[in-house]
Amino acid sequence: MAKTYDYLFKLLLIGDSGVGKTCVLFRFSEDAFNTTFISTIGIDFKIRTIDLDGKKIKLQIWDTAGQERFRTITTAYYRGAMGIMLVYDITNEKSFENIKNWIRNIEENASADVEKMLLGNKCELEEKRQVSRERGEQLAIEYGIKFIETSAKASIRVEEAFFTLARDIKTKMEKKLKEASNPPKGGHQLRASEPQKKPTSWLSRCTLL
Amino acid sequence: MVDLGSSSSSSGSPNRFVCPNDRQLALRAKLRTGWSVKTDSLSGFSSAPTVNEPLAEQEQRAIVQVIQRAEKIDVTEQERVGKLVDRLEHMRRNALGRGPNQCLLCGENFRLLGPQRIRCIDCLRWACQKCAIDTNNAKNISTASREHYLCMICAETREIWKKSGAWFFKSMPKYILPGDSKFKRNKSMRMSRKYRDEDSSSDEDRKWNRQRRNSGTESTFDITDQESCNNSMTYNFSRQQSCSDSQLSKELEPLRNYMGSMNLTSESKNWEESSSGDNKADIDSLEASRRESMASKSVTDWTWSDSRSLDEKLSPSTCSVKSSGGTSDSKQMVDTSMGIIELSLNYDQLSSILHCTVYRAKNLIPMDIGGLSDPFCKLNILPNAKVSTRLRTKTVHKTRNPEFNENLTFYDITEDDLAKKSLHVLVVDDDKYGHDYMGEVRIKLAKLRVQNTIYLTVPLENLRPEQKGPLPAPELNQWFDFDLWSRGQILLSLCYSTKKRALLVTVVRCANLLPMDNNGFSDPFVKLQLKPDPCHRKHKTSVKWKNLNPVFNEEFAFETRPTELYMQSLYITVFDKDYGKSNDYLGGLILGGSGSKGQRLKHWLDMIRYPDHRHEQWHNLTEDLLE
Repeated sequence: MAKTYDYLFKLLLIGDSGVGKTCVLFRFSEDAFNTTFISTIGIDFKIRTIDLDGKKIKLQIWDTAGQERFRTITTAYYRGAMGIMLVYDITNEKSFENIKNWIRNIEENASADVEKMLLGNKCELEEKRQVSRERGEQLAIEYGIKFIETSAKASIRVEEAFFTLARDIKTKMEKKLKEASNPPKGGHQLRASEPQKKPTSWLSRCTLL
Repeated sequence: MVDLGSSSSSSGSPNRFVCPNDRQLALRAKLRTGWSVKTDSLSGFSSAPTVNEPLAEQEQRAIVQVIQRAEKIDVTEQERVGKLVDRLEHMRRNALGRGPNQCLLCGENFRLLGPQRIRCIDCLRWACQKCAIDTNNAKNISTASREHYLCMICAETREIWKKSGAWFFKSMPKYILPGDSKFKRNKSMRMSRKYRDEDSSSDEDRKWNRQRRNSGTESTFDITDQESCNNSMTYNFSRQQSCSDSQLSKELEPLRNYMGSMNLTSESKNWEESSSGDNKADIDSLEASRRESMASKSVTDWTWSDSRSLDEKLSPSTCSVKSSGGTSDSKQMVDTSMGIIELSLNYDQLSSILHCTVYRAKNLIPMDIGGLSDPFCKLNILPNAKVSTRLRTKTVHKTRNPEFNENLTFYDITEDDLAKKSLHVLVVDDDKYGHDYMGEVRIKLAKLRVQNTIYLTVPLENLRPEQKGPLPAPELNQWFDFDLWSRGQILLSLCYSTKKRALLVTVVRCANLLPMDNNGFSDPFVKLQLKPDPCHRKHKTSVKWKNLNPVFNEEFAFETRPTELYMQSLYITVFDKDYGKSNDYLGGLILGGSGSKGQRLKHWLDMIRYPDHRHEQWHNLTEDLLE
């Protein structure tokens, strides 16, 4: 019997080649790290079930190849994703600059209300840093998304990043269903004003009589 | 030109010399980069020139492996969603409520003193407190100026919306129903089936097609399954009645359409079957009908039975013979004077659910003056009756051969329960004032441990030939239904005196009345009224203080002519005397006229037919308030 779960969230990791997407995922799913660099072929995914506010959430996290030549395959997976992690390398200026392009890629290919998040990876390499934390924060604010600096190697805030994204998706889900069921606020106000009308009409009738 | 060639290769990006589409243009306009060839090269945004070399064989194999792995997960997910959808469908089918005065789900009548009625904010229908949940949890009490209740069905619908991911993709993803997936596993068995007629095979093929669609090879999920959407539109008319009153927001609508189409497949299954059995409705011989039901149903069972062993699947006919033989032992002692009932039981071990399908009853006893009845079935798992194990079918009006075709689901039935408990099916005549007994049958569930699905065509038994006295409550009461006889009984004697030209009614005694006062007793008295009556006479007995089994022995006379008696009815109401507040209603009864059936009708007619004789009989009091 397969493990039961309440919700299935599909997440996606994108970013330039070599920023450490696979390592972040490896850290999150297996809590391990591999120093040798193996370029991802096309796509891959890992599964981890997490517990969030008493609900079991199965995360299916798609890891994409950063290389240009796999772009056709990887973009096919954008649309199915409920959350997307944009990963850059803080020791690599170029990967940070390309985030803009990745976001444009998302806008072109993913669902409109996909939850996004910015990750600055390799934050343990403080001496080689090229992108300051402030710049990362600034970019995140610009796009209205959350930002976390992580390190897959030193296991810094990787869990936190995924949990935050999952929680954001869950919150969004609950908000959406509330909106779908609850009538818009105008309806409430109308209803509230109805009882007020009655006494006045009744009173006016009385004075007429 | 060289560029053009490379872009047409298999893994190439969109043709660079084709004008980008509107969406791309709009997005590029935002970025203030324009859309020249140069910008297009920028869109590649890798410093190295794009290499569109085809993937190596090894790479392709790796990717295919990942896709296959993803497909496996997709299938389990689809099965999971299918299970959820199936559960909701069961719930929907078992909803009993008719009209605004009944709870949407359990069909309980809303009364002044009865359950509070609650409006579901999604479908705007009424449910009782037990069948609705409050969506406003403790966290936002401040905003809860109004209550937000959801009936169980809408709550479940929402839950599915969440759990399947439909909230994100704005439509239900593909799913595989539990029945379908089993079918898939046994697809080799398909060829070896013995029973196969035209109808069922087309039904089957449809499922087969859907199955194929579901397991399509694309691993990206195709959000709108166009074909099944279209199906749902055409099928939806059958569900429209129930859907039209739901003013759901548009977002939830696709889901409902899906449900509509879902429901139809199961309904059509039932119809196909009922049509085959219909014209043989009056077959008296049990043996013949048993054979008929075997032939018509072994096919339909196929689609949803949960038999895990294949041997059983191969011989459904032998199973049903065994099972129906089990209850009635053999032909010799079959007494079908009360009629027969056809049903099937299916036990799902994984989810501890007992599905019970009541198909039809035949040759039931007549109850009303026109020789017809309004039967429904009450199903109960006994002993230890709980609320959750008491279900009923819909009432089929004016017939002695009702077609119920209804699925009832008992949840949380353990294997232990199967060994010890039995299913009690009680056929009751639905009546405005009270229900009348039309026979019953008890089926031991132990058989379900051997085989998961059994068919039964069993004669109804009359375990209470005539009510000779008050029920020896309460342990016997457990066997009967609480609702039906919870208000106690009354012994009445009727006699038309030709000398006095009057109807003499003697209230002899009452039994098992409800305690209404704090001391655990009631202070009962009985009111009598003959309607219509030009003189508007009412009679009352004395009050018997602190007594639940009072003996009155009081006689009252209503002057009337025998011919008028056919038109008149006697209203008997029992009250608990209270000082300082209104009297509590204990129970009531109507004899004669259009309001009574069965035993009560017989009592009344006997009184008219044989004047100057005392006709004494016990009657059950009902909780319905008589006007």
